[in-house]
Amino acid sequence: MNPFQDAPKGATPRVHGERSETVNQRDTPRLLYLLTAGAAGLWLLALLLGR
Amino acid sequence: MTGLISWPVARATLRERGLAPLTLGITLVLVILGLFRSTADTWGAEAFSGFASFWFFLLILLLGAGLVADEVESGHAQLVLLRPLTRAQWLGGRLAGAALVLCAAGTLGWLVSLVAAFTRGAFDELPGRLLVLPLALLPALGWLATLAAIGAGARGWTNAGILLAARLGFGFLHFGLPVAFPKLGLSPLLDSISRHYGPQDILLVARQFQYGERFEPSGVLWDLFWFFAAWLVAVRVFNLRELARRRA
Repeated sequence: MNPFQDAPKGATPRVHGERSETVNQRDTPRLLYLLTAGAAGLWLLALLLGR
Repeated sequence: MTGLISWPVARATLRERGLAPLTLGITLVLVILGLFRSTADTWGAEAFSGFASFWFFLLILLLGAGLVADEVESGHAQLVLLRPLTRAQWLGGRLAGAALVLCAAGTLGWLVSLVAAFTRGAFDELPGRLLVLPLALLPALGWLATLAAIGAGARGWTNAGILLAARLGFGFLHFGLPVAFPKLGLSPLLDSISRHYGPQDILLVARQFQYGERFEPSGVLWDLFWFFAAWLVAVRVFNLRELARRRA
């Protein structure tokens, strides 16, 4: 089983008293890449239009 | 946004950094400067330009110093990360908490200068003054994200020292090299690098808007890009640092 997979809904916690969700801590949100790329695109566009 | 920022971490950071005596002291200085520097020539930038810009940058340094490293070195970050929380969300929370303090302090200084302008009866300055606030806060947030990016790899408060050294060092080169070697014609090259060396001061855009001058938004978009890019680098470096620590 993939250790980073979320536990199915309603599943009994595997460790008593702990939440069962596991997350991939190394995840870099895709939204951050999109925001960076979007801002870079807009800046380049403004630079080209400003010439 | 919850994928980017952990709001409980942001709230805790807001309390920790916002209630620090030095932060409150510098905010008070910004408020006083906003109140007493109010003239028509400053067009809303009383708390961010001239002498006040030094205090505002000091506040950024103070809020960003050890923003990531303090928590990692004390072991608090590792404890918090036992929760189902990504490192990106934790870092986003730290950055958002410090950013909220910075925005609150800047807004307070700006608000006081706005009230001072209204007492002079300068209501026609309102459009330009409204624009000044986001234009002052955007590069400040860019510097804060840069501090987070450096701090994701550096120890303790060294991120603030590195940033200060980098800014002063480049400033020295920018003005010193053309004087030392006038025959090389380095000025245009250094000017060009300077326009992309960190977030840019974009308060001029408010002036362009207020007086109907030629509008150049590329600086604003550069600062926006810098902010997100620095945040992205901070997350990537923090991930690498934690992986390296685990492998060691």
